[in-house]
Amino acid sequence: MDLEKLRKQFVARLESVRTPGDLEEVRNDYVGRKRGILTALLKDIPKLPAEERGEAGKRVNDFKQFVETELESRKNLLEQPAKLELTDWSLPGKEYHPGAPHPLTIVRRKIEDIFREMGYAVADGPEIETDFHNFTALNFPPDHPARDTQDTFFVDRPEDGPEKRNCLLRTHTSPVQIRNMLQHKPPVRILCPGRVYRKDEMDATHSPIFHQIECLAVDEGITFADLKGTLLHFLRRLFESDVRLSFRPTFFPFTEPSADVSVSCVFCDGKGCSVCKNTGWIEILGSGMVHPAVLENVGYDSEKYTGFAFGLGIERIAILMYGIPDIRLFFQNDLRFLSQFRIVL
Amino acid sequence: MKISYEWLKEWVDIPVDANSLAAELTMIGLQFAGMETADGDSILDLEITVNRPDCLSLRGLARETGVLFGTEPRLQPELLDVEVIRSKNTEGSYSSGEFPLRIALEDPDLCPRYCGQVVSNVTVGASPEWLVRKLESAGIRSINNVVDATNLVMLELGQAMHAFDYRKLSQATIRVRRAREEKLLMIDDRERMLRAPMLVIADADRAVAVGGVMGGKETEVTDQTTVVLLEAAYFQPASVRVTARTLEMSTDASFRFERGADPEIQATACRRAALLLEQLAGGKAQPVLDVNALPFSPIKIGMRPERVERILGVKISPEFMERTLVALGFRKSSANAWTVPSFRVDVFQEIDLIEEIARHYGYNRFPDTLPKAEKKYQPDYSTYELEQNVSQYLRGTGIDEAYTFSFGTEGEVQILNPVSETGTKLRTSLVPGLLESVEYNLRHRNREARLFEIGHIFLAAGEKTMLGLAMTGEYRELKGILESMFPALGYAGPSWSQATLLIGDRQIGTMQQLAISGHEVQACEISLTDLVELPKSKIRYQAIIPFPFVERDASFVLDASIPYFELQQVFAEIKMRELRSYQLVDRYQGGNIPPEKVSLTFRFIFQSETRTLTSEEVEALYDQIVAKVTARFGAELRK
Repeated sequence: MDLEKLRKQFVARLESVRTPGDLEEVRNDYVGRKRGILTALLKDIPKLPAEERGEAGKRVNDFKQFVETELESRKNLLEQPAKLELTDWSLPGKEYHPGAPHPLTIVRRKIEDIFREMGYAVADGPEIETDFHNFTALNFPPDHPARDTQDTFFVDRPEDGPEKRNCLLRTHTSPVQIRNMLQHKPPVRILCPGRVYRKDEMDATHSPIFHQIECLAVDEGITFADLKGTLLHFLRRLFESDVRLSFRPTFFPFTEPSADVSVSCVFCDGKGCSVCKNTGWIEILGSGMVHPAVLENVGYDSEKYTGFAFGLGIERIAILMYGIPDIRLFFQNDLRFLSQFRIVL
Repeated sequence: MKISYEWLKEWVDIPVDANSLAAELTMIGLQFAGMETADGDSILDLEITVNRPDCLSLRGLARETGVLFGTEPRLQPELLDVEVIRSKNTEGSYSSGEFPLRIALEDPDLCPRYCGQVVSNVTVGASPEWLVRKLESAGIRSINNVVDATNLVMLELGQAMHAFDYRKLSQATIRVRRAREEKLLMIDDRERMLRAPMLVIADADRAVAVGGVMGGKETEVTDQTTVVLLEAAYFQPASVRVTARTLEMSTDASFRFERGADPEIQATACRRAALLLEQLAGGKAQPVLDVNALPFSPIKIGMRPERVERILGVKISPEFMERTLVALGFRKSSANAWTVPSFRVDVFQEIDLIEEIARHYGYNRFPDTLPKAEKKYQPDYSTYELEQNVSQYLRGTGIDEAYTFSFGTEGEVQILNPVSETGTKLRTSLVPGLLESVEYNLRHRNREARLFEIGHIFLAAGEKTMLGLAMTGEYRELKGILESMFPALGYAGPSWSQATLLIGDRQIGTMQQLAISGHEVQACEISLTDLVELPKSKIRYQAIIPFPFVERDASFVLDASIPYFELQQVFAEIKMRELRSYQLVDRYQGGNIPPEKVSLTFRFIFQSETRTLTSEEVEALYDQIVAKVTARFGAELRK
C-alpha cells in the first residue's frame, strides 16, 4: 500500500475539480461508504498482522483526515460565488492613490529619457563647488562682469581653513561638465541635472534655489550643425510637436559660438498668444560650442576634439508645460498642488 | 543700451524700418528687448552682452548695422583740429601759457593711458534742444552743456569721460594712483571711504575722483566754472569692477570700463568733446595732453578656413568670410591672419573670429545634423538607478514626492552671504524640511500627508544623497514600507537597533517619531550614497514545496515592556525547520487584559519540505513554541 502515491493522485484529482458534482465524485472515490479507497483500506486493517495494525491504522487515519480537510476547503472555495452580494455597480470604489512624482522630476525624467536613448549618461556632482570648477575652468575671468549674471552664495566649511570664499554653491550645473571631463577621456556624452543656487530673494518668478539640466557632447568632429540637429530632435520630443527653433547669437564664457534658442510657441503654434507675449517664440535654453579654452582647461586637445553644450532651467519648462503661475509652488509641497501630478512615471 | 533709430541713421544708412532693424540686430547677437516711440522716432532697447562693450556706442552699433545691410557707416564724427602732445612715459606736462597741466600715472597697471585737455573761456549753461533729446533717447538726463558734451561723446564713441573744474584742481596736476585711506565727497552727495586697491584721480593734494566710476563734488563743473579739464582715460577693467562693487556703485562709466574700453580712442574723444565745448559753451581748447605709458599693440590671429568648417559644420565661402571681417574692422595681415581692431576687446583667438563669421552668416542658415553614433558606453552616476527605483517604489505605496529647500537654521556649513535670516546654513538632514511640509499640509486641513524627497545633505565631511520620508500614520506602517523596500531594491532586509536602521551591520538610516498638530508623524532618512555601496542579492529560484502547510494562531499575554525583538530572538533560537514563517497579526491592550500587559497574537505557519505533516506533529511543534515563549517571558497563553 503506497499512501504517498495515493496522496499524489488525490491532489491531482482535486486540482481538476471544477463543480460541486466533481467534488462529490472525488469524495465518493476516496472516502465514500461504498467505493471509497480509504474506506476499503480501513476495512482491511484488521486483516493485517497484529504488530502492523497500530502503525498502519494511524497512517491511514491521518491520510483520511488530510483528505477530508482538503475536501472541505475545496468545498468552501466552490461555494464562495454564492456569497457574492453585489447589488449596485455604481457604489464608489475604495479610495486609493499612487504617490505623485514632483513636476520637476517629471520634466527632468522626460529630458533624461530622451538623451539616455541617444546614448548619453546621466552625471552628477556636488552642490558645494570650488571657484575653479564653477567659474575659472569654465573660462570666467576673475573679476569679470560675466560673473554678475550669476550672483553667488559663498559658504564656509570648517575644514576649508582660512581660505574662505573659495567654496560656493554652484550657480549652474556646468561644473559637472568640468568634473566629468577631468575624469574621463573623450568622447563624452553626458546629461547633468541638478540643483543650483543664485542669490535672489524669493518671489513669484525668482528663487534662490532652482534646477537645471545641462548636456555636453565632446568628440572628434562634433559641429555647430550637430548642436542644432540635437536640439531640434530633443525639443520636438520634449514638446511632442513639430516645433520650429530659432537660434540667436549670444555670449557665454564657456561656449563659442554661443546661441540662445527659442521654440515656436507650443500654445499658439507661433501665431502669438499671452504665453509667448505675442512674439510667437518662447526662449528656452542657452547653448553653444564648447570653448577651446574650456577643453584645454580639462586637458583635452582642442584641435582634435570639439563639442557642444547646452543648459536649461527645469522650473521654466515645468512652468510652461503645466501653466504654473508661481515658482514658490514647487517648494511648498502643498498636496493640493502635488496631487495634481499623480501620474505613472 | 537704448538707441534712437533716427540718430543711428545719421551714422549709417538703414534700408528697413525700426521693427525690422530690431529683428535683424537680434539675429546677429544684439538682442532686442523693447521699443518706445516718441516724436516720430523709435527708441530701441538692446541687450548688449558683456563681451561687446564696443556696441555700447553709436559707432559700434553703426558698424554692425553696416555689415548687416552692406552699407558703409560714417564712423568718424567731426573732431576739433588741435595739437596732441604725446608722452610715452608715465608722466607728461605742458606749461606754456595760462593753463599748464601735469599728468602723472603713478599706477600704470591700473591706468596706462590718460588724456587731459583744458578748455577755457567756457560758459556753463543749458544744452540745446537737440542735445537734450539725444541724451534723453539714451536714458541720460541733461545736466549742463559741459557734462552733456562728455556724455554725448560717451554715447557716440563709447569712451566715458569726466569734466573737472580746472581751477579747483591743486597745482593743475592730475595724479592717477591707488587710494590711500582717504575720504571723498562724490557727485551723488555721498561721502565714501577710499582705500587701495581702488584707483583714484588726485590733484597735487587729494583725491578728486574715483577712476572710471565717478567724480568728486568739490571739483565738479558748476555754473561758476570757466575753465574745464576734460578727462578721457583707459582704466583696467577688473580694477574698475572691483572698485565699483566694493563701493556698491554702478555708473554709465563703470559699466563701460569694466567691460573694456577701446584703448585707442582717448585722444579722439577729447578732440570730439573739445569741439562740442567750443560750439556749445564758447570754449577755447588747449592742446590734448596724451600720457600713454603702455601704447597699444594690435594682435594678429590666424584663421584656417578648414577649422571654420570643422566647428560650424558647413562650408562658408572665403569671400563671405573676408568681406565680413573687413566690414567689422579687422585687417587682413597675411593669407590667413587677421589684425584685431583696438575696440574689439573680446577677440583674441581663432574661435572668436569663427564666431564673427557664424554670427553674420546667420545661425538659422546652418544645417541640422546629429553627431555620429556613440563610441563609448558611459554609465549613469552611481546612485542614479537607485534614486529612480526608490522613487518608483515609494510612489507605488502612495507617497508623494516633495522638493524642499537646502537651507536651514542648523548645519555644519555656513552660508556667508545668505538672503534671509531663516537660511544661514545648509541642511544636514532632509527630515526638518519634510516635517515642515507635513505640518503645512495638516494646517491646510489635509488629514494625511505622506512625503518623500531625494536630495543632497551637507556635512563637514562632504555631501551625501539621502532619501527622506515623513508621513502621518503609525510607525508600523512606515516600517512595513521600509521592510519591503530594501528587498525590492535588491538589498537584504533591514533590521533595527533602536531608531537606527541597518542593512547587515551597516548603519544606513535613522527613524524619528513625533506629534504634529495632534497627528502622529513618522519620519526616516536613509543614505543612498551608503546604500549603493552594499552588495545586492540576486534572485535565485527556489522550488515550490508541494506539501500542504498548516496555520496555527497563538495569543500570548505578556509584559508590555518586553520589546518585540526579544520574541523574534526566541523564535530564531528555536531553529525549527518546519516553522516556515510567523507573523504578528494582532496587538491588543485594554479590555480584559491587565494593565501593563499586552496581548500578542501570532500566526505560525508549519510546513515540511519533504512530506505532509501530521496533526500530531504540528501540535507538538506548536506546543514547543508556546512552552518556550511562556517560560522565557512568563507569558500566558490566552484561550
